[in-house]
This record gives sequence, structure tokens and C-alpha cells, in this order.
Amino acid sequence: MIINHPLLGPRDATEFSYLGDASLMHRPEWQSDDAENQFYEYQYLRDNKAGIHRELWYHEQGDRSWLVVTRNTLTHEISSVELASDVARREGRSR
Amino acid sequence: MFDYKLSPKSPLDGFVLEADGARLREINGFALISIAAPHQGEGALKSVLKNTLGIDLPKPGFSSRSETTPDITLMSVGHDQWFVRFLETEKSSVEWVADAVGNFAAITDQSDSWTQIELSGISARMSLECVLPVDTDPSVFPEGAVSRTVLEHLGVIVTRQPNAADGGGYCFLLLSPRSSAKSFLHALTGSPPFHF
Repeated sequence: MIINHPLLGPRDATEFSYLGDASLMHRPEWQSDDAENQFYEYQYLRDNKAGIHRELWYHEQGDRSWLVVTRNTLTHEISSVELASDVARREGRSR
Repeated sequence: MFDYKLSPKSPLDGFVLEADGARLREINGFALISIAAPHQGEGALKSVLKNTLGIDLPKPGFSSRSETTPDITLMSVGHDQWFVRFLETEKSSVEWVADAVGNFAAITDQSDSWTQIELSGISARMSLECVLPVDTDPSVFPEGAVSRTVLEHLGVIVTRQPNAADGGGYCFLLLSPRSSAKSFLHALTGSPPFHF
């Protein structure tokens, strides 16, 4: 499998390691009133999708960047690869 | 009390191997120092390096050379991280780079932590094709290109150097951790044209 890195171009999947669902980027606020419930959901509840899935990949044997890869779990077709930092900012994080 | 006299030892004892169309050679005497910019400090570091070393921050996947001081290369190796490489002399050392970047970056001297190997010759690309998962075709890997990847499961930073002046073909510089230098060399010498 080839992942088209947004800065470095096409790179072999062996250079990357997989973390999981991209929702892991959004760690709940630990001081909120229902933090316990939010962390339970954050830690244990995942959609098991047959189709388009957004996931985190780490370019461990490369430039050490975190990526958000949008992949179809049925066909393995990758439709988009973005830097996780760009996605985080777009989704409301300051950095 | 014994009076020990210590002398430095290179990772591969000055290894050289020539085969049909390719040559492997350990390179010594070059300092390798990592430079990391603080969060959102890339812009400031960029102008500091331009003023002090006369060098541009290369874009990802590339390296740049100094306009004022020859033989200094700055390689992009990751997000907000670069390796500066230069021939170590009495005048140029870690302190020299520390003075140049001041408080605008964190630096680490990694000179003795890496083995530096040059692979050159008309068959150099063929040799890499067997072990490297990165395309080294000149159209996508021109002179100055840098790639941090794996070679037979061992971490490596590959840069394309200027071609040999005598028309001797491509020239690549391979940097790999010193602790696994011999395994790294084993992987290289196990690929053609060094071994069939």
C-alpha cells in the first residue's frame, strides 16, 4: 500500500505505523462535569465502518509527522491524506 | 596508573568496496548536527540562518547549500527539524553552529551517532532499487533531494549528491545509525552489483 504524503509524495506503507480512528485527536476536556463518561466513550467506543474511514497514521520511519488518512475499508482505496496538524486546526484547535 | 591514549575509531573502519559500476565508501570527518525550531519559530530561524551561515531553510524532502561558506549542507529530515552537515575543522564545530542559531533553535551534536556512506557509480541506482522503498529516478529525486526512510528495516537518510565530475554516474550519501552500521553495510553489500 502506498500513502501519498502531503509533503513528501508517495511513500511505502511500511514506513508508517497505524494508530486508529482519527477521533482520537480530540481528547475530552478532563475538567468537564461529565469527563468520566466522555473518556469512556473516547477510549472504548468506535464505529466499525464498512466504507469510508478517517484514521491516524504516524510516519515513524520518515519525517515523524502524524497524518489523517481517509481510506475505504472495503477497497483500501485512499481518497485523501492530510497533515493531522492541519486537520486539528481546521476542526477548532489552536495548534 | 596507566597513561591511556585514546584515538577515535570510525563506525566502519574506513570501508571501501568497488564493484562493476558502483563504489561504496565510508565518509569520515563530517559533523552532523540536528537543528530543531521551536513551535512557530521557523520564520525567525530562517532569517537567522540566512544571516549567519548564508543558507536557506530547504523545503521538505530537499537540502540546501550555503552561498557564503562552501561545504555546508542543510538537510530537511522532519517537521521543523534539519540536519546541518559540514567538514569538521578547527574553525567549524558544534560551537560554531550553536553561535549561528543562538536562541532560535535547539541543537544536538550527532556527528558520532551516524555512519556516513557514499554510494556512487553508474550502477548506484540499481543497487538502491533492490533495498530502498523510495524512487530515486532523477525526475523525482534530483540533486539535493533528501529522503528519510528505511533500508532493509534500518533507518536511513538518503541524499542525492552532485554527480561525479568524470561522468562516473550518480552519487548518493547514506546516513544510518552507528549502532547498526555493520548490519546496514551488510544490507548494502548484499545487493547488486556488489553481490549477485
